[in-house]
Amino acid sequence: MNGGVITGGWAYVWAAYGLTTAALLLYGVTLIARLRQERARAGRER
Amino acid sequence: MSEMTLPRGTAARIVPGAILLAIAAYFGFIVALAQHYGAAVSFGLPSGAQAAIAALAGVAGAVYFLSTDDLGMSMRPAQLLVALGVICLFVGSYYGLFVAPPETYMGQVQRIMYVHVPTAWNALLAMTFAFLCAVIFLFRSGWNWDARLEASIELGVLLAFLLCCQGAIWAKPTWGVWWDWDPRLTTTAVLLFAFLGILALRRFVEDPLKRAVWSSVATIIAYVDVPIVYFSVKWWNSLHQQQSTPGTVSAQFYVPLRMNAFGVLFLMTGFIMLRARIAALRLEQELAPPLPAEEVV
Repeated sequence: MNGGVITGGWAYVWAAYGLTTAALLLYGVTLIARLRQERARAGRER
Repeated sequence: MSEMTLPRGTAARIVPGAILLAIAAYFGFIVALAQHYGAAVSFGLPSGAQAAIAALAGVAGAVYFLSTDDLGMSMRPAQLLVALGVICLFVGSYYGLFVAPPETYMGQVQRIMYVHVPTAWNALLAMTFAFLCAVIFLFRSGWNWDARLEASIELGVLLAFLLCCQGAIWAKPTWGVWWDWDPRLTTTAVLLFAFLGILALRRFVEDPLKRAVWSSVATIIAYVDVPIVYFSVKWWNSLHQQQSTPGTVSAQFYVPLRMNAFGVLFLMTGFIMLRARIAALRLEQELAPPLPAEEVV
């Protein structure tokens, strides 16, 4: 902080973008895996 | 039929939703992007009217897609939405990180706004869609609405969790603390845990009908917190800033903010459609009549 103005802070920016990207990516991957698993199970039961 | 082909009925069904989302994207960020490069394509509409059209058409398009999806075998519309979402997020984040100027007082840290605000809008939208699904299920008892309810709650929880984390990361350099029991933060945390509780409730209840009815009622009750979250910054003296309007946001910040807002909207809509298929497949198994005794191994 310098006279009421925040200086630097890129680490916080990267943390926020990194966390968001990682969470959405991980969720997308688990979603595809769960969907494949459910469709395979449904296919076996038919 | 391959899952990547789009049946003719599906193609016809998604046209109105695609038109709505195209109008939303046009007035949401394409006009702003064109203005950024000096082209005037706004038909003379003021920025407030453009934002209102974009928001209404975006919400209507997403709700149309989510409501008319038959949760069948074709996944192409959901995959297209996810792909569009990823492209918008990539371009919007590039603008937010490298093209938009730093804000006068918050400097570089303000760039967190380009992911934080779109996450907030879409978290509340996912929960609003969950509320609609709950009401429609209670009146019409369609199982697809229960599948959509589960999917939209899960996405709402994911986005609300991200919202709290991004907010904490932004709070540390600006407020000096990671967390404060401020009205906006507290009501958002209550919202997150209320909807997380509904997901837990769905795990514990085995009977599909009881699960659907109880979670619908719980969703309607939990949804009361959504307008409280939205208006908390107006009703109480809050550390959190009030909502911005097109009149209070610099035009240089429009492009990344709106591109990311539509990126998260497209991604969320596609994810809800895919997640609803998982719930529908599980429901199909639970609701199937038991096999005759001689066929049971």
